[in-house]
Amino acid sequence: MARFLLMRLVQSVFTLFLVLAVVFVIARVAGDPVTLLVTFDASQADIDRLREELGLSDPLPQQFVRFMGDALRGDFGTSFRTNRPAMNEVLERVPASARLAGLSLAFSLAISLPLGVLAAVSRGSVVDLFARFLALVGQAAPNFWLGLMLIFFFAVRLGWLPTGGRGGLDHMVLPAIALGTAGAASITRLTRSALLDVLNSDFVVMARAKGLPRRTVIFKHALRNALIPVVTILGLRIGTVISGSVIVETIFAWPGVGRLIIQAINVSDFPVVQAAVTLTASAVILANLLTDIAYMLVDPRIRYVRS
Amino acid sequence: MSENYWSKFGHDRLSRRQALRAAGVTGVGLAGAALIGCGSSDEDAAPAVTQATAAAGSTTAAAPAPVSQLTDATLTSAIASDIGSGDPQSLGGTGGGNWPNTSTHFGGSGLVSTDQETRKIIPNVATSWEEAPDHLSIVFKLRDNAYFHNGDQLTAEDVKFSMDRGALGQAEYNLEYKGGHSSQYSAIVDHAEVIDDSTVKFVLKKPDVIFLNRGLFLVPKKHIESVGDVAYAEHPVGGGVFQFVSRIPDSEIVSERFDRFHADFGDPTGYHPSYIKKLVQKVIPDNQARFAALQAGEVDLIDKISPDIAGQLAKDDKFKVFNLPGTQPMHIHINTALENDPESGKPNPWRDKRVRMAANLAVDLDGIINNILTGAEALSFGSASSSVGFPKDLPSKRWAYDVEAAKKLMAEAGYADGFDAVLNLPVGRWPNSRQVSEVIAQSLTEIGIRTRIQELQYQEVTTRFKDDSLYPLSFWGMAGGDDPGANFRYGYHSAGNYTMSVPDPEVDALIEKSELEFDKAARAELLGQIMTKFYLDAQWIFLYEPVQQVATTNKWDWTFWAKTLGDPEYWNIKPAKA
Repeated sequence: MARFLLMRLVQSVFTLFLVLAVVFVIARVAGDPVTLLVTFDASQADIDRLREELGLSDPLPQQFVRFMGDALRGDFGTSFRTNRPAMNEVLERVPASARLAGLSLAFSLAISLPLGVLAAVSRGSVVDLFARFLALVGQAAPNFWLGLMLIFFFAVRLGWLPTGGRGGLDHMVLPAIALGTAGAASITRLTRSALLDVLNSDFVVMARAKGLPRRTVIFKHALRNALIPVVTILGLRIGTVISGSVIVETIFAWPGVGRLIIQAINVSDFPVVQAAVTLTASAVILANLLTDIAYMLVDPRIRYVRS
Repeated sequence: MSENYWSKFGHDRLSRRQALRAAGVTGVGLAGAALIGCGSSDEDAAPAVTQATAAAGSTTAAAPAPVSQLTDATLTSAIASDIGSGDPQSLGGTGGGNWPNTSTHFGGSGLVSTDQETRKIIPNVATSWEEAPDHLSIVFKLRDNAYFHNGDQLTAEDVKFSMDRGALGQAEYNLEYKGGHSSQYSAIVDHAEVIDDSTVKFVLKKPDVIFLNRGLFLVPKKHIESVGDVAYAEHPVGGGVFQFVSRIPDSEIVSERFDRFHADFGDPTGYHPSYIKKLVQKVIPDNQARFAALQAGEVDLIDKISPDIAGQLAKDDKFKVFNLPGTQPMHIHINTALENDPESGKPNPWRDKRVRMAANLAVDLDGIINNILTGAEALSFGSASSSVGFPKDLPSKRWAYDVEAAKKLMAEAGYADGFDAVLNLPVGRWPNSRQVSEVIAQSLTEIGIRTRIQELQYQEVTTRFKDDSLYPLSFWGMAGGDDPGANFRYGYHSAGNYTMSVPDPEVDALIEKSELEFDKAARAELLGQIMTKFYLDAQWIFLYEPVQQVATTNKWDWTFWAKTLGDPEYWNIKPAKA
């Protein structure tokens, strides 16, 4: 187990290094950020002075070493737009994004687990068909479209919820549904198929033969085993939620990391883009690592094998 | 005109009678408002849209109201983008932000202003000024009743500090400040001197004929030195029409009327305390979401809406739509600086004037304006039609759409078989630029210039402009404004940062001459000659002056004060009379 953990940790660090390298390269090949910081008629002396101040006149390898060193300390420079530390800009948005991501995952699970179980235990019934239809629609509907439709019906037409913006739980309901629907759909399908597999396995047949109540067989024996792939997909959903939040946060004017990234890209605020991408990539890598660990804990047969 | 998400579901909300009423109410309610068509499918329902140009012609209608008309109203608006920084001097050249908040609202007035009718420079914070005969220094006499939001009186020390901090990097404390709007001064101003509390002198390195047109944001010296740059940017204190109350980044900006704005300044500029007491600006970046917020009654005003949404709102008597003539004429920049096509190595065909003329003739600008844009855009002639020196006869010489003439010119130039071209398009920089670029690419292809669009990050475009490597075409906007002198220096002159043209000694000479011509009439004549020559030489493919569309609920009245508007005049919007 220790060897497995160690290898996964090394892989995670290497992945993060690659992410940082890519972020560094992309920020440099996209042009000279100094041209965005000065007026059109700025003198060359002004441009050179600013480039010197920002450390952009050094050779690229030197910039890369400095960038990596600073990145390890969480220092991604100062936002071109706000003149504040870039990482602070990102960290300030994390709670909002985390709340939205948490609520959307909770929504996904609250919908998908009961629906998946119901569909599996009543295979071929109207309930099953309904669940499969919902899952299909949920996976097919783009979240930006779904978000706009939710705004139209629940905010404009019915006036039940606000159209967006920062606020209490009522402000989070619609974006959480828009963000969590695709996840709910995929987890429903996965829960259904995994549970169907388990329900046909020998140990479930044995449990039934022993005369255990149906509820005990399903929830105590079958569902626990069926949840192993669901745990995996939940980990992967973290990445999907983060990428999806870029769009959903923009539509619902939710001031999270996703919206900050869009805003920073629009004005070529590369220190903030670098900090945000690094942070979100780290979150995804960490989520994957934790998923692997959870997977291993749930199923002790899983071990690291050198290919 | 395409439908949006809401309109598809909302047709039952609008009757023909309602639509007709919408046109009538808005037309009566706003003096001088013009009604224009937006390509609506309902031919009986003339959309009610107000244009700034019509209203601005009647200054008396838009004259500042007496203080007795001030209200306790709160206006809530949905804006597309948050401010980057509350510090007006920290705005990067093009780095984003929200200008009305940082400049007009929190930053405040400049030393001088521009008369909206005559376009002449008029007093503002400075009551008078005097230039030395050699034009190497200028002395400003300041008002004795100009104040910042925190109650500090604006003095000559503040003006010197503003120049030192924003332009020259000479402010002694200078903690965090980098770059900024006033960096344009660094090549011109040597230093600033305080003569007395109300007199300040700028000593210049060289004569600068447009010195008064350059905007210097005035910031409070004592306050900034006391709190520092970072705290100042988070809680700006200026002399603007609204004073900062609070801000939640990317969510909400709250400000309140600054009562001493106009009452103490007199009325040199038309500025006055805002009619509304409080302004709440909610940041909603998505166009459709802003529309939904207006429909749901969450906000009173939305800015930067798309033409299709504006068309729908104009037909609903619950809303008013305003067309704001912009200040940034758009064009397709042509690279004639390179002798040869960098890919094929063949001679650069765009150096041939006939090819450039053909390209201008090939583009159906009226079709673009009426079918893709709002229909209210004015044609661009390189510089805004409101600029000093704009030749009144130039519009009659426009490159009118004529495909056959364009093909003939291509053949005469030896390009009957055409050639390949790339149209570089900065991603998401200007509204509707993608759709407009697609039409232009098709139009050019029709006359043999086989054009494909290449989308680039704005940063890459600005970088490649400077080394002339952006070839051959680029979608671009150049700031207009009252005086085109600075634009000509960086966009027309062969030494400019954003020129990319083969040097034209005649244009260069005219620009250099205009920069030394202090007689206003003579200078206007020179500027007109530059505009005419540049346009008739077809140095660019000239497009249009963009229009921004803004909508309010019908509970608000707004008669434009300015002739060109980048953003809503929040200070000039008032509750509609019952």
